[in-house]
Amino acid sequence: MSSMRVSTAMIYDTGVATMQQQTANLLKLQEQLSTQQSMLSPSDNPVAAAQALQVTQANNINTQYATNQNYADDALGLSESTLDSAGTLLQSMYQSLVHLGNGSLTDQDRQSIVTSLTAGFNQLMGYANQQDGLGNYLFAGYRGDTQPFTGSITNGVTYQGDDGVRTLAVSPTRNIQTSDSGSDIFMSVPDTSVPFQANATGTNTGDAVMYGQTITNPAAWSATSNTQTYNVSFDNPSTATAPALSYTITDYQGNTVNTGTYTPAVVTLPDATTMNLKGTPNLGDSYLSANGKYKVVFDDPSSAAAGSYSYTIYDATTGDPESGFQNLSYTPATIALPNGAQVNMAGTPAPGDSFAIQPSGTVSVFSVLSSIVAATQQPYATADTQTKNAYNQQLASAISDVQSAMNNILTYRASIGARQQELSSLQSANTTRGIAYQSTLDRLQNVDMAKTISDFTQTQVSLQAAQLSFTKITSLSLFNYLSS
Amino acid sequence: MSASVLSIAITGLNAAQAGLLTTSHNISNASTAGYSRQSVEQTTQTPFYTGGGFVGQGTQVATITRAYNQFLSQQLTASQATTSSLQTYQTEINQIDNMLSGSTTGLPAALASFYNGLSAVASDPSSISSRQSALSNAQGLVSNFNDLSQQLQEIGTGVNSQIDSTVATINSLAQQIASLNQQIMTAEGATGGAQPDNDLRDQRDELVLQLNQQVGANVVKQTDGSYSVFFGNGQPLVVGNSAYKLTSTPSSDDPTQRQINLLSPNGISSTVPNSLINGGALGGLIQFQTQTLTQAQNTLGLIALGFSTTLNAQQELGQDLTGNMGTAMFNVPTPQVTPNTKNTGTGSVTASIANVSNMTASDYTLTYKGTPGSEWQLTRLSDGTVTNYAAPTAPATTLTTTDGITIDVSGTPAVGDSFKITPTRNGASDLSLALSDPRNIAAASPVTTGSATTNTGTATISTGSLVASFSTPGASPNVPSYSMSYDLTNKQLQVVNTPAQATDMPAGTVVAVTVNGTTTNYTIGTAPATTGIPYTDGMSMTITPPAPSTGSIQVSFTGTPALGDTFTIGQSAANTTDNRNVVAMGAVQTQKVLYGSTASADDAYSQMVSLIGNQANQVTTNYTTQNTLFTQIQSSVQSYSGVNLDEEAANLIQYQQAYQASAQVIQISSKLFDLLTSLGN
Repeated sequence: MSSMRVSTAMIYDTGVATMQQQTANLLKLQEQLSTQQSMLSPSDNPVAAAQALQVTQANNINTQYATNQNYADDALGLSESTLDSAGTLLQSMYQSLVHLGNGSLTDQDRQSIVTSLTAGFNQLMGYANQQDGLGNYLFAGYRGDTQPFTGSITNGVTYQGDDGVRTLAVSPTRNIQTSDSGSDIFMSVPDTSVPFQANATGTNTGDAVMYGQTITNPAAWSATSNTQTYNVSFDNPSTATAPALSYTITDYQGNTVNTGTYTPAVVTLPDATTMNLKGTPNLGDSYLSANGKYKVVFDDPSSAAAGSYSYTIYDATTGDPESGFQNLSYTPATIALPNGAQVNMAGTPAPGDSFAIQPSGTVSVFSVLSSIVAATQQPYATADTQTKNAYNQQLASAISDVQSAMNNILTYRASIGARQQELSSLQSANTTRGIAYQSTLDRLQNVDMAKTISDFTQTQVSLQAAQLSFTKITSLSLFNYLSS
Repeated sequence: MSASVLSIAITGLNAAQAGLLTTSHNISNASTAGYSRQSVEQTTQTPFYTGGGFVGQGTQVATITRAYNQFLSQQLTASQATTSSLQTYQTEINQIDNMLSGSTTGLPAALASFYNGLSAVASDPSSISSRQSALSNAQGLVSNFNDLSQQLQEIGTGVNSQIDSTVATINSLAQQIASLNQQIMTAEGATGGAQPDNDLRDQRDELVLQLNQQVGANVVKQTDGSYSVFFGNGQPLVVGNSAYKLTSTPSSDDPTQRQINLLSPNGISSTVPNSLINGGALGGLIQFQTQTLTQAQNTLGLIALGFSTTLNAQQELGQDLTGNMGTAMFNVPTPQVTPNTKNTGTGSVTASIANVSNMTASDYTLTYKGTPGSEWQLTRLSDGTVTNYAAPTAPATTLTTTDGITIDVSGTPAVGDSFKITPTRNGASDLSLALSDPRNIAAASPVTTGSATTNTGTATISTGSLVASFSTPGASPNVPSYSMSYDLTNKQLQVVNTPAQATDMPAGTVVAVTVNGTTTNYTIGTAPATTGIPYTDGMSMTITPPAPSTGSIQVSFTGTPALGDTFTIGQSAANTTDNRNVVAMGAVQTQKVLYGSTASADDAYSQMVSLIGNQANQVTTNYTTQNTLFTQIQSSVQSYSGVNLDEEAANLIQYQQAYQASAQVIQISSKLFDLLTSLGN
């Protein structure tokens, strides 16, 4: 085996090249150690570099979601606490209204309740017009710079906002709702004062009214198959024998579902004139005839059959009962509706008049309150029976609607609470994801200290060895021995 | 002539002296680049015949040879060209590689800040300060795109000036080789071609090696001993004692790049295609420019275009704080078209972005061929795909829409005229922020929807959004009003077209209803018409009125409506806390807006980093391999030709002793002569 011929230049070149390589390695390790980064440029590990960018992006977005979650949580928290206060306020107003039902209150007592209800109304306006820390109205929809509820208890309240709801991206697949429309919360309270609406059509020419909507079979009435939408129209011409009038009930599609006859319930007075009673009499109610001659008093509960009321007619001037008009029976006319409901009717419809039966709609809590406050301001103790009855009925409706408003607020609070709960679970998922991203980034980018330090030491030793051997080899020369 | 001891000794003395001279020449040149060690070739003098046979007449120096291996030398120059090319490529690509390092700085960080800014606006759309901060972040992002592009342009400028200086070096080396050819012919001609001029030949070989550091070049040794040097696919650089000259000038099809021209000694210039230039620094620079730099610049431009175009489109669907439709947030650069400086016709070409998602990072060349029916030829430079197009018939000017770019042609081009289309080259460098007033961030949507307060069902209409705008950017939104009510009998939402209502849907309006991914279109008839649209819980509805209206609205429904429930759609006021559109703008962050809807801007950036990283990594690996190979060949050459001082020391002793021995012979000859002369005494 012949050994390779070595030129002197090779000894130097190879030695220097080796030391340069070792120095470069050492420098890179030093850089890795000082920056704590394993990848100094993408070419060190292109796949990991791209992955690190993707993970960093995901992590940035994740952080963004966390910021949005906190913001959403704050916004929902403010809505929730405002609605909580509004609910508490409505609860106390509800109690005041219930208190008003106590017939023994003096007008002065009632006036002080009015004062407290008015204050409550204004406070409720304040809650509905609540602003966030930045001056935006919470319940104005998208019109955050516009005061959403304007007006007063005397002039009525109108909504200036819109139905907009803000959302924020809080996870890759979820935009959470951070605001609720004030219109839905305060202006669209389900009207529970009547189980359904029964309204005379605007074109009616008769004086008949429908009242006293009653559900006789709640299951059938509230079944989804029941549209609660009917039309009661009086036939023209009537096929019934007067004074009865025939009518036809059609459903929303115009199909006839029922027919019947209606006989107006009247009180025949001793002078042979008749009197219409609109409404259901209570025990003790008294009605003055149109000509002022007679007084009809419902004074005996025991003698009437169920659904009927007994009355006696008195001479209005003398106060003596009219003979032959004592202990008579009055039965309000009732029209049965399909699917377990009925409605009372009074007055005389003209042929062709019709009445629309519809599901109950919505009311504004402000209008309910302003109406009842206005009504309560009227004298009560001295009012006649009809006025009192009307007032009591209105009070009952108001109590029912205020309760409905409280329920409505509770529904929104529950919805907000559910969103907050969702946020809290998203927040914890977010934190977990953030930790996972960070650990992936650590794995991709961070330097393995133990290994790198070990590599550094090893390279250092190699370089020292190369330096030492280089000086030894280059000091060897035959010329050293060529002495003169 | 008969020999004498003296004359023989003198030949030995001369030979030993030549040996000593050559050895000291070797020792002196031990570290001279390209030096091949020389050695004395001694032969015997022609012997003298006597009856007793041939008597030796001493020695003579036949020639001085250099230890030169042509095969190794060729290998070395070839390896030098490849290594030097890769080394240059590596140096250049490392600049970009280092520029892209770091995942928490640079463009990704700027993109993240931009979207953080938008998100802050979404959290509080009424705040001018968060809007201002979003605009500042947008400016930061634009600057980042500009800066990155600027750095790449500077690298490009550096490459061009390196090409210029490399060309100067090549010319100088070619000139030196030509003049050495002449010197060697003259020097060796003086010996009748019998003796080689070793040192000049070493110098010439070293120059060839240096030339290959600059550009890959082949040497053909001519019978007269001169070197002919060729590069590319046979372009001459040196022929005999004359050198050709290279020039580098701005490229006729792309002035931002260089083209290499060959100037013959008699002054004829021709362009050498870049694809033919391989090896050496020049090859590395050109390869870097065409394969990496342009691609990096274009990809960055494409990312900027994809990002800004999509953001602008969304911004233009929104409504700003003043109540007007949003205007573009960014000034999006239009694709560049550069006519070839050699064009002779009057044709002109313009390009515009049609669909950024279909765009590629490639450049294109559009050439007028004049062939009837396929007058124009478009070449996609990234893969060489060629497509022919017929010239548009006037007054139409659009030639084609290809790869997301619409190309328009006009004028009268001459056959052979060409245009370079660089759709993305300036995408990042020329991007600028168009908005300056923070109120003009279109955070809101101009669409409002509502449910009548008399509704008794549970159905709700979504807050709605624009799919296309009803007016030009910056103008009043002009969103039409619609009303639809529920027909319980047919379970339909009814829209009417009576001749006079404000909420009429005009005839020809298309209502597209999508349920579970299936879309059905309903077209509104001529007034009076009532159109029933079947209602399904969760359905989405897109309403597009006929032209000249340009807009389109999208809403969706959930829940169950009751008889007569009414839903309305209309234009919203200037709403301060509406964040619908800015939320949609924020969603662009993860939207796949590039590469045929497969990558977001962030994805595209990381793909670019990965691509450059991989290229840099591959170039480094190739360079390391080639450099090892080069070092090995260099070792072989050194092993064969290099000077070993120990060996020369030994030679020195050997020739010294030979000299001493011959001197001793002369002394003996002198003694013999003295002996003879003393005989007479």
